[in-house]
Amino acid sequence: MGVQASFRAAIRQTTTCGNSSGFTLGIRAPGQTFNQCLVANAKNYSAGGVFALSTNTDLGTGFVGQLVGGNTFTSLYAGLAGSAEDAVGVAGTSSPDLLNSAIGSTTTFGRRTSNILSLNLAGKGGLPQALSSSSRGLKSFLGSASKAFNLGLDASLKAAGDLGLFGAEIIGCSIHR
Amino acid sequence: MISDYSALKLSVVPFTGSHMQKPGTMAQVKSGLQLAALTLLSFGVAGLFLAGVAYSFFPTGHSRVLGLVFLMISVPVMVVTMNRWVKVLAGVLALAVLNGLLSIGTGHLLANPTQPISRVDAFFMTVLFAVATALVSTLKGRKLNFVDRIAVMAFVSILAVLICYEGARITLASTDFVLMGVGLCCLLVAWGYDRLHRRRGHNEPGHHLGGPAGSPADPIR
Repeated sequence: MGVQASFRAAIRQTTTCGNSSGFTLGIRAPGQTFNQCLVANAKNYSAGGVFALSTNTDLGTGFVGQLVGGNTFTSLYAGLAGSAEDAVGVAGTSSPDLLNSAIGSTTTFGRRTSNILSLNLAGKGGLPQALSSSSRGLKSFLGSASKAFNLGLDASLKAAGDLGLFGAEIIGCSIHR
Repeated sequence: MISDYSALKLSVVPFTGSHMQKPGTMAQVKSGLQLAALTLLSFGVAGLFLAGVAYSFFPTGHSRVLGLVFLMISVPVMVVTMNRWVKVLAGVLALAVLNGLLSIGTGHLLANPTQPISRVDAFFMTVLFAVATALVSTLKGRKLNFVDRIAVMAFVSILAVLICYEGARITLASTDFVLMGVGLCCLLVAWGYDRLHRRRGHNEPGHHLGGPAGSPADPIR
């Protein structure tokens, strides 16, 4: 019972709103909306922000520091929460992947289709294509653009860290101080 | 006859489960925890290096000796494990390019809508980071030689100096571009050296292996 009572007291202390002396998980200030809290704390929940806080300096909060150590997800949210035209940059980076996957392989049809090999007939001129072969150039370009924008697994470690920090920020902003 | 045929079919068709055993739950948990620990460790070493550069060469109010100790711990670890983290570096730089595009799109400092930035400056810095990403990603496919290691360490050091020199500044100065350019030159030297080395290897008499870099046929692998 003694342990339970002390545990309850500790929980009560951590969840008391407006009590600045007790520890609380919440970071949302009184009167602040959830959205305002997320945008206001976005820079702190990044590798650069963590570094600045842990070393008690302002390093990592400048332009280049935020480029390298900034949180892509919180920035994305801050950009989207700002205004509609702010989202243009985001669409530009994701469109090559989307278009590339949408193009896929050229569809063939008829008796010489590539999908059903057993029905193929011998003949000249190759497979009749539903789309022109000229789309190959665009597909190659989009493939290169996609590689440039998204280095796949190489970026996944930092992206996972960013996502974790974004989750922590969401939890923090869900709870009042 | 029909039953014999189906029996024959069953004996010929391999059972997938016997060839590929799925790892157990505990093994997957262990692997995940190891990956998380390694990630945290690598972020810790990177932070130690950055703090070392900041404390040693910039006025931060901390002891310079402490900064040098940080550098003495982090630099050897980074040099030895470079083959592993250079892949992550390419990803981090790629995300930096993405962050740069976000900054250009929004017109303000990343994750800080109250700080407007020059889109032209952001564009040029993003281009420099894109070039750095392309150069670093060429290092992934090969075993790093001595020149590569020096070049990558120089680039990372310059990046750390750039971040520390910049501090909390949001406007980019010409020095920032010069520093980034010097860092890119280091990577270019490594890339050029590799190309030259590979070409010499292909021109050597008696060389008949024409495989690409990183392939079993590549003599410089």
